[in-house]
Amino acid sequence: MEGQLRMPDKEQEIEIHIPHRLGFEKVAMESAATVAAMMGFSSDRIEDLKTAVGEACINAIEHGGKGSPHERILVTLTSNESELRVDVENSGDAFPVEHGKPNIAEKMDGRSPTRGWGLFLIRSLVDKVEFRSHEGTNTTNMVICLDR
Amino acid sequence: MEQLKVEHKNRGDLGIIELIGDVTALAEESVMSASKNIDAAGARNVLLKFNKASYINSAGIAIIISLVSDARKKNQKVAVCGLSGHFKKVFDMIGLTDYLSIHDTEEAALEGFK
Repeated sequence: MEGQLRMPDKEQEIEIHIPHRLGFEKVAMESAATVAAMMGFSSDRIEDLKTAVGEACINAIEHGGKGSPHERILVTLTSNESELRVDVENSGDAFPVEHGKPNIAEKMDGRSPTRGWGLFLIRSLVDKVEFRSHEGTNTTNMVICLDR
Repeated sequence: MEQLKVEHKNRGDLGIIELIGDVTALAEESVMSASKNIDAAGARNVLLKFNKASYINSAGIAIIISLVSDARKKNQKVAVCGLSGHFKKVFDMIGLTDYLSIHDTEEAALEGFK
């Protein structure tokens, strides 16, 4: 597209460090959206990615950062010709990884808390996701693919 | 984060809560306060008005579920308008569309309540 900045075809990596404070997930979301737009993802797919990245960062913010106040969450954006990978890494307690779709009927009836949608949204909005926890480091790895 | 502004008004027996900005955990007190105010003014049904540029995270979704749950206990129907295409999809994915109706505009929502 003439005049539009595009990502080079070879793999590029961008790192962003955000503080453990709610609100700063938007920095990661907008950065991921910018890279996805440069790669040529549709606006629908970019919105999906933004929401997923936001939820992954919120998990990291809420469950980590219990150590030094200078700790940061590392968000790594890795692009290549076919996919964009977003890794969200933090140190701290592993957040509980629940499987399956939360039951909205139970939440409406007050039988379970109304929260708990983050992981479901991440799984539903990206093409691949992995949650890892190892020796005090937690990572959410998300991938969206250009051909889907 | 764009600070959320919550406004409310009543149009007949419809209570309208307008959410301007990002709908996150910080929205809870304002939204529940607006809900009490429209009830006090006689609302029999509720319309949530969003702005297409709004960001709604999972904590914001939880607040909306709480509001809908409370409305159901009072036999109030809930509609929403002004959602972006993305969040219409998210509401449907979560199953919220089983508990509320989605419209493009306030007028369309009003028609839906007739």
